[in-house]
Amino acid sequence: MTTVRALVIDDSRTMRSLLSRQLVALGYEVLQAGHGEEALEVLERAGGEVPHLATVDWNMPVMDGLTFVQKVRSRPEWRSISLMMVTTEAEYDQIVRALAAGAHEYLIKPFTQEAFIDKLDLLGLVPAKALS
Amino acid sequence: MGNLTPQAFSYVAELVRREAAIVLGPGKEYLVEARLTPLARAAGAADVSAYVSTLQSPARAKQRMAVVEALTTNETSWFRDGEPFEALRTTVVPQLLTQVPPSRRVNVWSAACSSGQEAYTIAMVMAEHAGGRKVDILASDLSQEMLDRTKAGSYSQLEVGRGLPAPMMVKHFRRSGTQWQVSEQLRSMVRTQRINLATPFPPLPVFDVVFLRNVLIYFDTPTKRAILQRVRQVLSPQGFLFLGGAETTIGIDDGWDRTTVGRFTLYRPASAADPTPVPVPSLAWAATAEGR
Amino acid sequence: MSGVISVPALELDDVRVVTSDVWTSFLASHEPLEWSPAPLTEPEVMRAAVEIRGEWHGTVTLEMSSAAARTAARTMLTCDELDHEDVLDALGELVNMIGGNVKSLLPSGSTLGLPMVSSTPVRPSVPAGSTEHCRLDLSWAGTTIVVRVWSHATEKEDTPR
Repeated sequence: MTTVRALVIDDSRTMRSLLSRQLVALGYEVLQAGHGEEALEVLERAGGEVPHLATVDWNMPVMDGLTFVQKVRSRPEWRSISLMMVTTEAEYDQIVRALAAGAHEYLIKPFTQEAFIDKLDLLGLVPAKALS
Repeated sequence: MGNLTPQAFSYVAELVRREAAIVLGPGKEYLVEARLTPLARAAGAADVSAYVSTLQSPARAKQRMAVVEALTTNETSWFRDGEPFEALRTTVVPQLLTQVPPSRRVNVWSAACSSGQEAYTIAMVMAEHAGGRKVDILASDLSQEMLDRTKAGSYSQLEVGRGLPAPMMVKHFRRSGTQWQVSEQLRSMVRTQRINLATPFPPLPVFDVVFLRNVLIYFDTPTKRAILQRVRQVLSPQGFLFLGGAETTIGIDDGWDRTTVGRFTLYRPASAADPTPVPVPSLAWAATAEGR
Repeated sequence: MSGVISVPALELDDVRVVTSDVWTSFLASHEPLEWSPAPLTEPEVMRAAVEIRGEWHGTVTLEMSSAAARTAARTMLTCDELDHEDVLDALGELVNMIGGNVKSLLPSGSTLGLPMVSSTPVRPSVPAGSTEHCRLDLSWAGTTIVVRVWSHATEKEDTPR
């Protein structure tokens, strides 16, 4: 079984730690970034081994999550990355904007671990051993 | 908070498998922690693992049942388990569109609907894939409170996050204060009625699809058989029955044929020699059904 | 002449629901939140604040004792060895989530600032002249936590900040 890889992008290290822990428990290899630009650098360095999943906070310094999503979706070599917004932006219009920009899923903070795993499941990203 | 020991998890998984035919595979430790922490706290245990070790004496049968209950309570999520709704979309709905005359509406029953997530999930699939055909979804439950919740179609942000694809959320829901409200289009497809499955059914229409998921586990075998037979009475001969993931009619009622769609099993009334009477829509149903 | 724009649409119960959801999601391993009759009296208090700017301009604050803040951080980070930065970040993320969801109840187009965390009385978290719009005292982990929504005073011209 190939290793699943995730990139967790959030300016709060508490949130990065929380999401990373949950992903590691599911069998993921996890990289982190504190804002969109840092995350793009991680993707550039990844070469052919891009992450299967990126969790994307919206409000971050330097480059916000929406801009990051737009940039990722404009690169054909990064088409395979599933993009899940994980953000406190909870307005209906914001969700529409993010999906229109190319985000695949949207998780509003706060969220339970079960809800996060549900969203991963919708994206087909729960490694087989974690399902009953 | 505590780390669930492998022994504690194994014990609970075996208990739930034995008592409720529910499988808790690896990766579900978080579920056991989350569901049993309130019980552990109420019992004054240091953590869930400590609580579980107290369950093993014969005198603790009641506590064990509470644990089973806590773990098998209908998880209220949208598109629960995924596959049944894939089967609905890819196999059942296309067949219904050919076998149900355009003049007749498609009838679906979500039995033991709880707070309505299943009924509205079915409504979403139908709205997307039933080609504009009129669909009527009966959502029934024993609890009036659950029926009221289903009818209201209003869900908290935490509830709405459970398994609902974001594109479906923006398409079929709107915010209403801190809650998310199901659209009028979906609400108009669902009606509620209080029904006790363990007793003879009130007059009901002929259904094309019945969802009876994760409710039979609460009944003994004779009652399960009676319920399945009653369901067969109100299901079209070409109809479909959806059961929960770990459930089956085998050994309980042999009036069903099984067909698989991927890893999911669909049940249909047996076409065999046993001459089950063809269900006739009850005239009395139209008079007693809750107003639409 | 300055005036205050109030937020009639924002009810105390909305703030309670939002706060409760944050606690259910990330701090559920402790007792759930309940209304607290007791005020926050601990000498060491930490306060986190996040600004909301839009049609209405205000701040959402979260206050709790330093001990409670450490408990929260330990729970969210599942780690017993914390430094002060960890606690600041955890508290900041809690107020970020409360503030973000409060913002979503207001007219659209508002923006959320970055969370600021401090141990009082280092610096005030809300501008002078702000009015407390609503206040929530909740009991958690044997102590009181306080969530407040403040409306900023407005002036005819923008004041340099």
